[in-house]
Amino acid sequence: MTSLKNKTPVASWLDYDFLAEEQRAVKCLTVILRTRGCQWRKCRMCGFWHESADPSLTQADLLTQLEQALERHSPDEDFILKIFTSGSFLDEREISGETRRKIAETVRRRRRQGRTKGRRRGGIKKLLVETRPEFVSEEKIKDLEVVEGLELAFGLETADDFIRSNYINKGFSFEDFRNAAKVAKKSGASVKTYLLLKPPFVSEKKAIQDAVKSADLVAPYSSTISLNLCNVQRQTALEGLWRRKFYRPPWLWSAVEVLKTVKRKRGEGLVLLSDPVGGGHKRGPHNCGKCDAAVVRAIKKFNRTQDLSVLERLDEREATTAETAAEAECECKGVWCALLKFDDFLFGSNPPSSTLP
Amino acid sequence: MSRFYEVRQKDGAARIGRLQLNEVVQTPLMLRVESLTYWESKEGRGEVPRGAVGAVLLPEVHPFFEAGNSQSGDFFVLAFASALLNSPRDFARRIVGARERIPPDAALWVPGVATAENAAVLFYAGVDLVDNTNAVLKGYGGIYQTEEGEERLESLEELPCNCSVCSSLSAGELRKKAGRKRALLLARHNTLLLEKEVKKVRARVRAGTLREYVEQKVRSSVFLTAVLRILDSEAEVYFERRTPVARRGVQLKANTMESLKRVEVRRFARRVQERYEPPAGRRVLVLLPCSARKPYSASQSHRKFVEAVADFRGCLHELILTSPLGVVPRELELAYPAAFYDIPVTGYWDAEERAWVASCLRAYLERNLQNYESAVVVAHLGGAAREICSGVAAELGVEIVQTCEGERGEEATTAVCSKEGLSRLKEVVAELCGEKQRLTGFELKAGVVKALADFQFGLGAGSGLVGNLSLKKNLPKKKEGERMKITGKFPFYKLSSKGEVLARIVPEFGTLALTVKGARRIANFLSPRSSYKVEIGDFVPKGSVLAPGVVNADPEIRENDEVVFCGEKAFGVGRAKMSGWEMVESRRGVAVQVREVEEI
Repeated sequence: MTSLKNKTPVASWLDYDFLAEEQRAVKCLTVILRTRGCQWRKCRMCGFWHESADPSLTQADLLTQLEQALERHSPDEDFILKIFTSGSFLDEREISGETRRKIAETVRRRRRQGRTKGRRRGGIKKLLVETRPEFVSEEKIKDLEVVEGLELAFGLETADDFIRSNYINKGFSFEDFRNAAKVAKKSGASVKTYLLLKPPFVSEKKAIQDAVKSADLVAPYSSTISLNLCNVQRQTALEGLWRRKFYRPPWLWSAVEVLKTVKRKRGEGLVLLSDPVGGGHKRGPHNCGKCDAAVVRAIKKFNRTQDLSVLERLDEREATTAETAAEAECECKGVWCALLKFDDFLFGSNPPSSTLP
Repeated sequence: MSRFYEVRQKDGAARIGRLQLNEVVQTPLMLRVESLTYWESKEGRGEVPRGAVGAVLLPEVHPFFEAGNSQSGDFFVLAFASALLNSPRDFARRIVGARERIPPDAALWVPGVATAENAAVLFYAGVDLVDNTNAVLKGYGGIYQTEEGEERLESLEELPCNCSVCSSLSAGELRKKAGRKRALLLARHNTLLLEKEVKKVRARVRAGTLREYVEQKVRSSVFLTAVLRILDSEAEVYFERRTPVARRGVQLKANTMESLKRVEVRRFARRVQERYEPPAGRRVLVLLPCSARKPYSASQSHRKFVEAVADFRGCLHELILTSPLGVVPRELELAYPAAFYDIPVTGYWDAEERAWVASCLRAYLERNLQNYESAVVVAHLGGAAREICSGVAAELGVEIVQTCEGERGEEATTAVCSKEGLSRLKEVVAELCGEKQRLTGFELKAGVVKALADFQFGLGAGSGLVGNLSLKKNLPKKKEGERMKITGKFPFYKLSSKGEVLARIVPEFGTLALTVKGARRIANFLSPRSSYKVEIGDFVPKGSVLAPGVVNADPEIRENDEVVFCGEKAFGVGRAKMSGWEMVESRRGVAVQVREVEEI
């Protein structure tokens, strides 16, 4: 008997994503399927596999989950469908070949606009699935060529093998990623690469440098780069480090810095995104507490517009209007700058912010 | 091995040292982060130009953590140091843990966490280098640091400081400065404040009074007070291994409840237990109160006590009950810290003090009461001391005669020094002793020398040096000239035999200093476990024995201990300037200050 939990996706929601082909933000439906979870489960910062299904999960449940999300959230205009699992979409232990093909069929049926129960609904113009590179093959990609735009997303985290293997414990190399990206490209799919800002044991400045350098190295293989701002998930190795003050999530200023540097270099050729999950919270990327909301707002706006000036405005010393006043440079920007300047002499120390109210 | 760092002076785990960077600097030191330069050498180690070489100590959670001790480096950097602010226990453990992983003659740098508030505790725990990163970052964040914590600049009515920044402008003027300028000024104030604190700590280390300063400093912070208590309870051995056995003329001030936990206090109590035996042939134990003046004998009150019982001193033994040392036998009143402590006297003793002193008295009675012919103990005490004594006597079933009336809260000293009190003391003592028996000058002095020798070198050393005092009366003369002589006025006693000096008391340290003759005499009596011997290389030392010249050393040796050194070419005596284990593990620094040496 399969449980109710197994028939419900981990999460599904509707928001906007920047569509490179049209150079504008379009509606985007994200579904996180509850599969049996990631096989690897060893990344220090990742707690997603805690959201795995009960062992009684059937492959039919997965289709039910997808149907439920489409039912609930499909917008009336054309949209992007993003399917994540708490692991890899192309791992057949999570989603069997047959289920994969059935999902493809579902998507194919809905690629044109249509009506359900009298209500207008949009067509799926692009499908994105996330997977670890070792599961990528031409054959599997072929199964999914049901919509015009197919995108494969990889959580590479960093182009630096040393950081990835020692500090993140990701279990695959840059070479693995590159091969998978080549296969994807050859099969006509585009590639989205996730980079992780500030893995454990990497200092603020080195984290920025690593993210910028990684973006440079993955840009030739990626149409979109998404910068994940490392946050502290429950029951992860990272949480243990954070609790004992061996880790502080990245400053939002660092995220802004990486986004600005990469975007300036790459311009329109690359879609650059960053979802500031947990932004302004102590477990998520945060600044001093006063300016966090404004910076998070700016990053979200940048995601939709790809407009650099949204981020650049944060640096303006003199705010011209009341609205920009909140977004103007905060006192803590100076602290962050000094932190980067002294990075070499901190040896991983995260100087405490004030305990004063 | 440390080539560019040398420890010059120590006070517990804190040290004054010389570090060779671009120039020679003194630790404890605050590095200015703005002026540091950095590069990685081929081995990947951080390096400060032309001089000291550094290595990084990773925490156990790091993928590249290596268990075991690190050996190479003039200084070590504690990586991820902010983790020590996680809890007082982490603070204490991380510093002590780091210190124990590195050689004693290497410097320890804890980056990014020092403030004027916590610096004294950092150095006290064994850190040598800090930096002003925290001070600067706080300044940039609009935080004004003080000796006791921090304030937001906006909340300050006045700038409570006289540094060059604060004396040049008011709080209001500072607030009105433009952002960048204000940040720099605040950072400058915070830095100056930290630097001043570092200077204060250096002065305290030089004076040997850092502990008192730390007890005072931690009061401003619950966190730091907890750190000190944890260090006292969990790192007792760590500090004992680093604390001198004596300090030249330094008063130990027992002003806080933490003073009871000091290494010096605990060590004294332990040694009274393990390295002291009351003189033989004394029939009655008399408990006396302490006096503010040290040594006790020099005080008015003790002169009166002694005068009252003078006729019977040959058959009674005096034991002083005191906080925080517990019990001090008369013969050890010159020892450190018995002659070197002060404590606020109000007549009120708190529960912990009472429990501690009671435990010392109980242990003493359990061990030594059978040595006295009379099972009755005389207690000439008032107030809390009297209560403690009654309590312990009742617990052990020991009969006790109190010679002072006067309840708690009454002026105890008046009672113990009152005519009635003193005459009652005399009466009781006379009754218990029977016939009069005065103490001869030699007995008195020899008792002190013997007790100090036992106290310093372990039981047996005293009789080895002075001879068996209990047999002296029976065998008054051996050969002519073999007789021991003790000359000098209290407390400057000098022990000699056949016209040659064997040992003398050094009251500034509260120790007994041996001559080569004296050392040879006691050498056979020392237990192998605490031999106080330093084995040196094939040379004749002049002014001092340096650490590299030490082949082996008794691990019991502590700074300012009297030690015997011997090698193929020399035999001599001197004063230890580091612990025995440090002599073995260090490559730099003075190990022993030579007093006398004989070529072999």
